[in-house]
Amino acid sequence: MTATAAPVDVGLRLDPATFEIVSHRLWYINDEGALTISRLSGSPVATEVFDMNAGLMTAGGDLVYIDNFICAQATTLSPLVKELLSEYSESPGFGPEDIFLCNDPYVSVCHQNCVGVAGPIFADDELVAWAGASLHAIDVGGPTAGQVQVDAADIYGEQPLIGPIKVFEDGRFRKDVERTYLRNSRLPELLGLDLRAKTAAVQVIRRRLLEAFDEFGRETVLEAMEDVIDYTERRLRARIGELPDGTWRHRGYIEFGDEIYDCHVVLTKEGEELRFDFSESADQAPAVINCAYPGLVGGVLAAVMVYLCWDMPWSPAGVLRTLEIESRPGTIVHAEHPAGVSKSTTTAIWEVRNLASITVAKMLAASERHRDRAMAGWQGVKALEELFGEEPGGERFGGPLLDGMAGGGGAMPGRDGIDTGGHTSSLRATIANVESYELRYPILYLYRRQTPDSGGPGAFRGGAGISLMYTAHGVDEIATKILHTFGVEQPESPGLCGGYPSTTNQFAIVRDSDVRERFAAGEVPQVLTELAGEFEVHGAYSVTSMRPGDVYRAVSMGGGGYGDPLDRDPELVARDVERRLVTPVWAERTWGVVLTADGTVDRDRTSVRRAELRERRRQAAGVEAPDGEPRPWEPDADGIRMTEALFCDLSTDEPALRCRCGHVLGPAEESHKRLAAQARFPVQEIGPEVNPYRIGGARFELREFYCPACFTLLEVEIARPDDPVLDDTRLSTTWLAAIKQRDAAGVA
Amino acid sequence: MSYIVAVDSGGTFSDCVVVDQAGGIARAKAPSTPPRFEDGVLAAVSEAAARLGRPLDELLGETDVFAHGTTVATNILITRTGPRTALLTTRGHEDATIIGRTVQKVAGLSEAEIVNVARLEKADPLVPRANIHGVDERVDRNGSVVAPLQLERLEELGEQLRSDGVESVAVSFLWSFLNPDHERQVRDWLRAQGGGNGNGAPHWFVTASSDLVPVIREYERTTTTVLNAYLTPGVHGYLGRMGERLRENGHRGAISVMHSAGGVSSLEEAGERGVTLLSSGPAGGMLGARALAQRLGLDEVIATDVGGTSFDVGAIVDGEPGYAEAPVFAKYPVAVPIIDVTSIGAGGGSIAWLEAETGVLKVGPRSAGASPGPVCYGAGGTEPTVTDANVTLGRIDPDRFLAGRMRLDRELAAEAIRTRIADPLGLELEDAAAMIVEIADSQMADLIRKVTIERGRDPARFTVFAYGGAAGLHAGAYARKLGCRHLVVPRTAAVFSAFGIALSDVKRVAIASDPSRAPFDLARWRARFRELEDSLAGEFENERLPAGDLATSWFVELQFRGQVHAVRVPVEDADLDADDGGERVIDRFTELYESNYGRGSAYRQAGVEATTFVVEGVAELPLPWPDPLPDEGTDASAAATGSRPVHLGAASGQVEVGTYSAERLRPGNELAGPAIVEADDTTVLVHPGHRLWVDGLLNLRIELGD
Repeated sequence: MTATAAPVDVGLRLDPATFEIVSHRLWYINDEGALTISRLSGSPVATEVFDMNAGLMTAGGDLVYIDNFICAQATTLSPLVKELLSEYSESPGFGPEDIFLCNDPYVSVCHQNCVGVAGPIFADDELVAWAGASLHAIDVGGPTAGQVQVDAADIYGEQPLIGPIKVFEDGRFRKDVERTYLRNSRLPELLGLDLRAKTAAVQVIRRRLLEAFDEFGRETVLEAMEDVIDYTERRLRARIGELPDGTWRHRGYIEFGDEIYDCHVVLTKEGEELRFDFSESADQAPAVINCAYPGLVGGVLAAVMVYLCWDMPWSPAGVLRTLEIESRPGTIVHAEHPAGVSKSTTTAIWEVRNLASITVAKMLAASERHRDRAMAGWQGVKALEELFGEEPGGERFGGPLLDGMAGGGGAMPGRDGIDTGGHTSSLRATIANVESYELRYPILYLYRRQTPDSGGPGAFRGGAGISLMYTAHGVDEIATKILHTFGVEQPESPGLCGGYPSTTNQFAIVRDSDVRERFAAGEVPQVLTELAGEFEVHGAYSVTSMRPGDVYRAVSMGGGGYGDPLDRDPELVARDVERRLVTPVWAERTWGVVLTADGTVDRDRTSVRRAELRERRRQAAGVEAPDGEPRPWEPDADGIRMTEALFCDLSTDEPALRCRCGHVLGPAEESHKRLAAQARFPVQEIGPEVNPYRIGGARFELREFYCPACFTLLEVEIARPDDPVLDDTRLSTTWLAAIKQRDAAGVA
Repeated sequence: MSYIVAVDSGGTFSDCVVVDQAGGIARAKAPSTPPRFEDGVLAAVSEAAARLGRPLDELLGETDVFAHGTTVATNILITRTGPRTALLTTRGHEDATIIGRTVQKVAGLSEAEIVNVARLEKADPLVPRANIHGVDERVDRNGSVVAPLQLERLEELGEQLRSDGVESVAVSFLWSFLNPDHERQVRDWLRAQGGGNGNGAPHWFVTASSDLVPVIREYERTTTTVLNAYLTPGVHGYLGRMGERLRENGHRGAISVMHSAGGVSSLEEAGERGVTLLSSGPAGGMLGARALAQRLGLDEVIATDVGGTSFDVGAIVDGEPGYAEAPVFAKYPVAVPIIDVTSIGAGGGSIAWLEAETGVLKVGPRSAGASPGPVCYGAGGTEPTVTDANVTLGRIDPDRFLAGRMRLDRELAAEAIRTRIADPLGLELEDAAAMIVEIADSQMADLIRKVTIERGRDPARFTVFAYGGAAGLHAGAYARKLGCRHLVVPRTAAVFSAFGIALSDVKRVAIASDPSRAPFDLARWRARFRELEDSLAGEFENERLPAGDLATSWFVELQFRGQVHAVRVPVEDADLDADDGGERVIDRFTELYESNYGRGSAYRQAGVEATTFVVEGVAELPLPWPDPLPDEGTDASAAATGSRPVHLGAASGQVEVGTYSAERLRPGNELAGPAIVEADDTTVLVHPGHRLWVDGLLNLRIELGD
């Protein structure tokens, strides 16, 4: 913009002011596209919970910007455009007002219900960019209403696959295509409105981009698009470079019927790049819970952006350049056709994001500079349901009840997780009002609340999750009620550095209860198990129905805790009790905090109780208390942090793992968990809302790892009894050696 | 003489406008004095009286209407100085305001704030969980009672409220907008308690959601009710003191208060509805823009207010400002109608900085604020701001800032820009300063674009109104970026909100939800409208304002099935005579919908839903407008004050620019850009190629050409 002076080279095509101005505009353009979807759609998933997104792409299909709604809905637009470019350039070809539609997860989308659209943007007869939009459609057909194809063994039993196909041509809908698309759905009117919302979003982005060409010049805008990608890459590389080198692992599980599918990731960080390796994950399932490759990439991107891109644009193409994603085709996280994927967004993709998130968090926890952003797992998976049936007048109702999205945030050093703060899949996600759901479905809530004892315990507490209870109301029957989730046997929101996970997800129904009589007596019942009637527990995946008098309860998990709960300030525990987020019983059991009758902390009894709990840890681990006090040291000065309480002591010849208390666990080249004292418990030990009805028996256990001297809780692990202990945190020995050398040089 | 006196009491200044019968205008400013805002208000009126050469009591004695805009509600909310408040709600839904539909953690945040995930947090609750109490009762979606309320069970709760020292109580039950019976029973029971806390407060202040805001969606309804319970006692106390001070100083006339829905109400009514004052000042600005637009015969106006720390934008479409779709204050949604004004942190105080990792130049969102302020204030600021860039470029005369009352240090400003921006980027000083202004101008243009586009309009068709102290320096640039052709800097630009408050009519908006699907029961609609209209008529009768006849208009909010964003569709009585299930209104809805969202976007097969009924009532206050002054010819040379070198941006570079006194410009005078027009409280830059003329009301009009 100035001819007189050359800006310093920051590696961008544009000067820094023009870049700032045009990139800002590009963000607004894409944001307007996304908001157009939510305004025009008639679907509660778009209008109330924002299960949607939009993306602006380069001519080659690289994503410049996505909005901060559901991340993977936008990141999967890129493979759609790349497929169009490679397969459709000749036939049917691209026109300036064309839009293509696709719901094939092996091409692009997360699952069949997330129907994506994308259209080319032409300037002077040249294809210069793409715009895309995606939205979770409530019903696109298939044997079962909604997204979860109950008994499908593979994709042939799931929703019909459509496209990529040209649905909008020369600025008009292709009637033949639209009709074919809508014909499969149980809710064709809604699907039609959704389709209009998405095409309008693409048209809006198109129009605004052309206006920007007029204003700034086409080349300037196109250069800005490339610059946004480069800029994001540059920023993220610098960020990654600030973090320690090392290897971090995690393992998660998806329960599905009698089967358990384990998922694994190894995060290796070296220099300015991250490598995520999912190869050890289980083979793909003969069911609906797998995800295809675009979903895997979307899950990793979401994690990296949320955990590391807090002050830079969310430009997926730029982020991707810093990542290497390894996987094995034919696995649950990288399924091969014809594996079923219709439930991927709430199974495999969530698991991928959980794994990538917690390993990045472990890496951040080892960074002295950025550890205050080491968030334990946010909600590990939401408990969801879909309802379908007929109102008394014969009108059909149908769709999801998405309260379960109000999960909890992960705790981090210095801060509790956000209570009912949602999940990281979509930062702007919203749950609908109770009145909106009651208007839409024939149900009547008895409560919707933050679940007591649901935030993962820790020195900093995970955010509470949500629970709800309702009865069928004003209808003879809710004919179809599909409950689906995982994490019902094992809590899926991981804690960090000794913090515990949150609850499990739960579904239960009391049949033919006395709720009507209670209402008539002027009571709104608040405890499911106090109702008369037949009590029924449902697992991760269930199809049922409800009649008046039946009362249903669901629990959707919160976030994981950070650090040892015995390190928590007792005043914070007292505050949590006052806020009904923790019950007095569990305040004492988990946090060792004893309260007086008026709710204040009993300091003396709290000290005694905490000492007892540490002694109990020792006994459970079956180790002797060490003789004498450990040699004191200054870990912040003399050690390199690895976790909250563990450091690498570089003052000795061979680096040693050492607790903050001074105790030396052993050589740094050993697994810290092997060197720690360990104990195993039933998962129910974590809290009253962790698989309370023992679904599946005891297929999972809780493992705790302590410092053998001070019995600080160092790590918590959820595993099947036969699974090996996970060696999950390793700082790079080369990196440690380099630091030691640097420090030595500094001293010299 | 008889006067209308208006004061907009804001966070930093109280602005006063005095309008006489002939439409003559005097203006004054005084520093605000929180939390005793009344002192600053009186000081501003005294200053205006002094300018008119009248003693304060004489001026007030001849004042028919004292119109007041106040930031007191916002101040109570920000400083959290409201009373101890309790919430009574349907058992099982005690957490609704705390869950905040999950989205509370990002409500009202910018994109940059949202992606800073580890720093997100929900609102600090106005009513802590311990003071939220569930009441056994339940009404369903048809308004039928499912679980009857049993008042006699509330005795213990009464004791609890007393022992908690509660001073104000909000009551919000599910579906109370359809059947308010339970809420009213509890409200009346609370009022009858006469409990108070035994510390001098004889009664609880009680707000019931079905009285305040009977609309569907319990989260938004409840937070609005809670905000009202939390804000009203303080607002009531302040307005009482304010009224007393005016009476003591000789005022005998009416007192009106500007509310966020874009009109005034009596002091007494405002004192019962604190939540309706949250956007009092900005609404005043929009009402001023509306009045001026009407006077100038303009239908489509973008009203822009550039202050020290924020840039506010509102659109006037078809002569009327719009209502905000989902207004948020301190992360809480507010469900009462609020004139739509969108704000970003961009203004004279916005700080320019280089991003360490990449060297990209950024402006804002951090602001140097009033203290230390820009570097050129010499008050200890070290980071260069937009004002520093304007001073460096010669656009602001450092010796004549605020009529010379404050001397600015150009050297300090230039040095800060040189060392922190220009040198690291390898740029000349002026180029760096021009880049800073360019980025700020672009941010403002982007916000305007967003605001107009959201209302389905092309910004280029709008006339830009520019007010607030710093607007005159930036408006020419952002108006040009948007392709606008016409810009107006009002004569009262520096006190424009007060001006708007002076010109506002009495207004009330009554709303009530009653969801239904097409085909609609029009008899039921009519009953709804009549109920609302009757309640308005009753309230207007009780207004102690010298207002004219009440005129009402009816609207229904319609949407396609399942949508949340409704369109407000005008309804006339005749529409309700047709035996067509509302087809006429639905047709009107479809037209409005397509004009907002594009041809073909409407999809009637989806079904149409009605949610909320709205009746607006307006009664005019006697508002004087001056007659235009006669044209005195194009020659502006009598207003010339000299010239100085001014950098006009990358295209023009540094140029010697003529300067003019705004006070001496006369109707009909014309200036070709580049030129600078200086008033005591603002500076206007006329860019090359733009042409300024002065209209008969002494507004500065700038034509940007094609």
